[in-house]
Amino acid sequence: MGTTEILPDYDIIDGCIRGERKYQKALYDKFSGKMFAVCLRYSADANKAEDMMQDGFIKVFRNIEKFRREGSFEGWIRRIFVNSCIENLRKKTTLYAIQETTIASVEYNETNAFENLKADDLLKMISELATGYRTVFNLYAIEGYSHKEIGEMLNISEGTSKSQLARARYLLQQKLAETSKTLLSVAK
Amino acid sequence: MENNFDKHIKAKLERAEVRSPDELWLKLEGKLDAFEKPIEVEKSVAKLFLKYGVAAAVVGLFATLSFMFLNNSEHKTVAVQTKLPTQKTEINLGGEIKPAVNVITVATVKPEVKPKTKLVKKHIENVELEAKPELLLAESSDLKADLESAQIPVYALKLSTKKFSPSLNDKITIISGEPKNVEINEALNKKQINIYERLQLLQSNKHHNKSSLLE
Repeated sequence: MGTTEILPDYDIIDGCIRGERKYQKALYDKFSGKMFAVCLRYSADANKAEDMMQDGFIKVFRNIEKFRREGSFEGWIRRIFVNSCIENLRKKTTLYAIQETTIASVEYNETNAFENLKADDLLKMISELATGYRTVFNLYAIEGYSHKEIGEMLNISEGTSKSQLARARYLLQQKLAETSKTLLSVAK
Repeated sequence: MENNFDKHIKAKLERAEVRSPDELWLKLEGKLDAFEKPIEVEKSVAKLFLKYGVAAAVVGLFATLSFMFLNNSEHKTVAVQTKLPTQKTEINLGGEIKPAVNVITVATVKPEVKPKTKLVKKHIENVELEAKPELLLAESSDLKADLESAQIPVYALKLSTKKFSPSLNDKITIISGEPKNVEINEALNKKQINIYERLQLLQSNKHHNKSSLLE
């Protein structure tokens, strides 16, 4: 992805602690692809994702000396990015609880639908969700946070988190079914 | 509880990578510069303060120790004042000068005249003077012609006081530095001329010998 030489993580970390631009660039090149995907999952459009990306890397560079070098470096960076995205969204978004009863199920062949789906298409579907649905879905389904944790992070109740997740799933399944039908018709 | 739908999505997206725009690093670099510069400035200012603070402390300590050492030492420093020889350019001939009387000093004469010839009237401008003493002398006492006829050089006067208000009791000190006129100058210098007395003499005897004025 980048043009710079591949450096070991500990060299990159030490260089970034010293504030050397070469190592900051190396870190950026190594993780920008994955972190941009994270940002795209939490944002409605690419421009917002770029802002989140810059904020995330600035936080990484400014806090890198706090990394204890015990767990995964990528995991540490990802957590910073997720928190940064949440912080960014929290400033602008209010989440509201919705009634579980309004959510129906969607009939479609899930396995086939996912097999034919690319990551970019899925990201596009997620980005089309309302901010609240998108955020809760990301935190729960991909990051693995519990509803209680999500409630604390977003300053909402557990119930709201659950209802947002259910709604997000329903909408995504709908989109997936539509996409699957389109793909099947194209194949025929 | 994680359902199959979530698992499928997680599998697709957890390790997904999307190429970020190329210019994004440049934007980020710009932001990093903006963040880092104030920190660098703060650090450099702090370093500067530290550097000069340490230097000032060392100098202060050295000065204090030196002061204490010198105060406790038996060797005392004695200030020695030296006087450099000075060259006087004025010669005050004659008796004591009363404070109430203006002292008129005739400036150095450098006429290109041969010895024993008439002295040529010279006027040397002295910008420090508020009035031209020569003029004042002549106007106030109408003595100019008499002075000239008596061969008293009515040169520009360098006064010891700025404000000049001559009176007939004023005394004139003549300074001369012209080597060619040694004889004349010596004769002049020997006299402290009381203008009033000499003029009285001149007026009483119109045929007065010019040289007698200098006697």
